Amino acid sequence: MTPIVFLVILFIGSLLAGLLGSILGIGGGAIIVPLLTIFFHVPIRIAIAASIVSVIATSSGGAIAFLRDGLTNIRVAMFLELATTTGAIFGALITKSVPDRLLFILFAVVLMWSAIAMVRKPKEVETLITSNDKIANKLKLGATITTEREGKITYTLVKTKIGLAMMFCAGMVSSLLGIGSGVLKVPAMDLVMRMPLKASTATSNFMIGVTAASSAIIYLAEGQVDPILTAPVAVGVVIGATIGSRKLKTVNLNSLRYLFVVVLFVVAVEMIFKA
Amino acid sequence: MADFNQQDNYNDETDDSKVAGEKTHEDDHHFHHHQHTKDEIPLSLAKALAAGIITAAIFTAIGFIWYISANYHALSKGSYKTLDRSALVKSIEPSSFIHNLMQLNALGFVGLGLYFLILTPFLRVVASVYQFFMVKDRAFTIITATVALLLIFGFALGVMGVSL
Repeated sequence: MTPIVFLVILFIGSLLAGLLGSILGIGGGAIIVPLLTIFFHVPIRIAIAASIVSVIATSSGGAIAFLRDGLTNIRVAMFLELATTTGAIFGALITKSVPDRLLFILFAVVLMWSAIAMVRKPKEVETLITSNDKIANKLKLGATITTEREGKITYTLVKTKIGLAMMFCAGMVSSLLGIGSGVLKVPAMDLVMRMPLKASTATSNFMIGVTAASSAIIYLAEGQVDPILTAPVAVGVVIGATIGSRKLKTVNLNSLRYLFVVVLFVVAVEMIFKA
Repeated sequence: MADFNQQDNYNDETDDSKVAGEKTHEDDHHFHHHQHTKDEIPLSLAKALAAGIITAAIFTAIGFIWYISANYHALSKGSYKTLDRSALVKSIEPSSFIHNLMQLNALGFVGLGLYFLILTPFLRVVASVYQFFMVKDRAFTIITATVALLLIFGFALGVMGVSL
């Protein structure tokens, strides 16, 4: 495969990854890195650096549609970004000490864990209108959202400290693996902090850009980004994410979850083989 | 800006005290406060920044197509693995990027697009600092400003090549 053919296929693949990623709220990175490493045999660190830059595009491309739908909780996003950015910077600083094989295994484990967490969840977690969590109360982290299926849902959050700790890990994993780590952020908000799934997905999407930017800027400043490989990935993801973000409200919650789980399992198994 | 005003009716509260004339029961207080409408969301800001992402993508695309056209023969043989990418990777480091940008070459454009892409979420955080500051939400002004400083700190560490 000549470099030109490779780059064109890469562009198309990235466009599809951006589309799928924004629908699922997983930032596209979980698809981009396996696409680059498994299908195109790109070294994992180059793939990670290219992916983390393009992940920003998924978040920002999707942000408008989510904000318009009133699903994004900006206060929660900003609060949790304290932890994700710290984690992402830490991850970018330790990445050189982490062997490639461990990155593949970590990638598979993260995806498997997320898939299992989503499968085990029998139904939408019941939201709370009151909370004994001091931080959530003091910072007024709750909100009311409107969805087509469930109507108006008012919620507040619990276990914000655990949420923060999980977000630190999510940020670290994001920068180590080049993924948006929506796969960790959504369950942290949804399953632990009791935020409705759609609000969690939208808020995670909003956060992913900032988390990714904090590690992407380190990779870029350190000269770890291959611009000619990253360019078609980033442009493809921007286009895909822009198209995908218009579709969220029309996607059925169960089919969304089902699709999410299948994608995570397939990718995880592939990554284990690669390791 | 006005976008945040409705959402932050209680911004001046710095402790658990209640605002006169508002809810007296804590649970009711939170229930009431948490209701906000999508009109409060800074949609115009999101739109402006999404436009920034599109602009970044356009710069990246122009630089990319330019690079492909200029190096068509070299890119039509062998494989991507056989290309010498060390110069490419180096071209994106801050100092080389500024040099390429001054030269107005293809890699300069790609770099401009990619830096712009990364700058966009940072600008969104900075805009949030301003918005929370304007509605006197002290807690969230500090929170968002800390996030912005963390991003600057990360960039500085990257430029210095610090690793653990």
